[in-house]
Amino acid sequence: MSTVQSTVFLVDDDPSVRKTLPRGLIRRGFQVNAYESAKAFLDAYSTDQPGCLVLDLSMPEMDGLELQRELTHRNIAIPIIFITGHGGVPQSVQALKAGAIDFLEKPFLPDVLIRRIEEAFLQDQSTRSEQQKLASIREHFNRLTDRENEVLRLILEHQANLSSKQMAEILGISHRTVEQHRSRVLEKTQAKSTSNLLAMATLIGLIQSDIT
Amino acid sequence: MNFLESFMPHGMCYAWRPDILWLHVFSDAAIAIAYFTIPYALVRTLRKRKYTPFRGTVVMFSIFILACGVTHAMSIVVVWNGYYAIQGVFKAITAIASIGTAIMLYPIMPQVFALRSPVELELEESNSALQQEMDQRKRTEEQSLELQNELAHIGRLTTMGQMATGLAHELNQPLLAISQSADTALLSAQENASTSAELLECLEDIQSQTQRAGEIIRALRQFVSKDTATRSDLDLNSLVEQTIRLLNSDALKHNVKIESDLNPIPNPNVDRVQIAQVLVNLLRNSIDAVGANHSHNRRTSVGTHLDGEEIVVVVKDNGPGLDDGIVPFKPFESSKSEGMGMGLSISRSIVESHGGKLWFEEAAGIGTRFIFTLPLTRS
Repeated sequence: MSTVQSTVFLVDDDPSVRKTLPRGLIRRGFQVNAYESAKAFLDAYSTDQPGCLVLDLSMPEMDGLELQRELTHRNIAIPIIFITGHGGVPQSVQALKAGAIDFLEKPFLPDVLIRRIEEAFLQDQSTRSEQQKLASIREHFNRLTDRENEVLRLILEHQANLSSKQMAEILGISHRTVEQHRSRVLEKTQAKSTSNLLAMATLIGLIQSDIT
Repeated sequence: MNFLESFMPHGMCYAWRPDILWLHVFSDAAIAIAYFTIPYALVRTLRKRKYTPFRGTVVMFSIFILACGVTHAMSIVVVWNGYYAIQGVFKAITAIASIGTAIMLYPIMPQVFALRSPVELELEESNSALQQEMDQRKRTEEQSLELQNELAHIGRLTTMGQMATGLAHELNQPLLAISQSADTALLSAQENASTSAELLECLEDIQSQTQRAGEIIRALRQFVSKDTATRSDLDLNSLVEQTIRLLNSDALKHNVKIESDLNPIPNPNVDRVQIAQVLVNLLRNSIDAVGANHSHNRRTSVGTHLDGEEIVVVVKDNGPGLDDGIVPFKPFESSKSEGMGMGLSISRSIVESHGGKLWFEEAAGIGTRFIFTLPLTRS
């Protein structure tokens, strides 16, 4: 993951901005991709590319706020830094509420933008590592056999309050077999304990976290 | 001689001349009949109308008139029979009744003067109605004048505001490009050992002056927009009506009829003058557009209604629609020879600063609809 360099995705309909803004960033060692419209960005972007979005607020057709909504809708969590030629207070509030990193009024100092970009990269990385962690947990859980899954479901449903004996009765198999499955479940999911197993299951959404 | 004894008849004094005698007799008779009928009429009136004012006085007056009638009747009797004593008694009764009536009459005179006749009452009512209508008209006129003044004032500010918003939007892009380029140039120059200190200073100056230009535009725009301090809960329908009144003469000049379809809506929290400006802009556009319509049926209309959490205002006309190649809302682009092309762009910024949207819809043969929304503040 860390081998892939983070990219600054710039979306602005003004060619002068697309030409000059990346120049300074590239010179500072950033990788920059510039797009002339929200649609061009959506067409080109794939979620496995780490980085952040530097997004112009007012553009014809799909504007910055609409792109932000679309990304949320598509479950894409790329951090967004808004840039705007006319600082609209209500829009900035709306953008920040929806999770934008910042709202910069043009012309801003390059240093300010760079600080925000670095912040955004950090946020993106932590989101990605979080997602990766979830993905690996999910993967571990997917390795369970049908029988093991049955045992897992019983453990989750009863909040680990059932003894192996009780589970054996429910499933109609021997006590020893249940014990075997149970230890296989813990082993495969790399859970350190039953409570750790419950916590992981909650993380990947196998149990509703609001169960009391 | 007895008090009631008959004296010489009064006819003797007339020397029994028939002309003089009958002149007196007939005149007295006429007076007596009249004097008897007057109290009859009065008493009948009192009976019919229970709440006649000054009943006591009217009764007293009736007695007085009746007594007068009797004295005149007695004058006829004494022409042939000299019962002067009886005549005297009746005269005395009349005297008492007269004095009584007079005494009762004086104190109530001011009250009688204050009494109003039905005609007066009617006149008074129509007077006050007229006064009310005049007040209402004056108020309406004042409101409309006030709005006009405010708009004129804002108009002056707006010319600057239009420039500021237009400039802000258009200039901030190149300013950013300059700022970024100066920055890159600075980085480049710093890498080169032979770069003079003067060049570095120049590039730094370009950078800081670009930021300064940005600050000036920002300050100008803030000065014009005055933020949200002037917002209040506004009766939008009444503002629409005022705006229509304001533009009516304009519309009449173009032979255009302004209609309205105002539905009950809650009061949005908005800047009155700014929203008035949007309404004026849209209506003026609309009037101009319909003015270009060659049919006799030139109409434009304003409608308001509530849609969920938003108030929707629709300004539509049956004009020929927008010119090809014109992008509405783009600053400095106008189809009108005298226009600056800022009206719609300003209107859109105003609506957006209120958290709403402004857009247009066009349908062939139907005309153009400009629609804007104002969200109701949830607080």
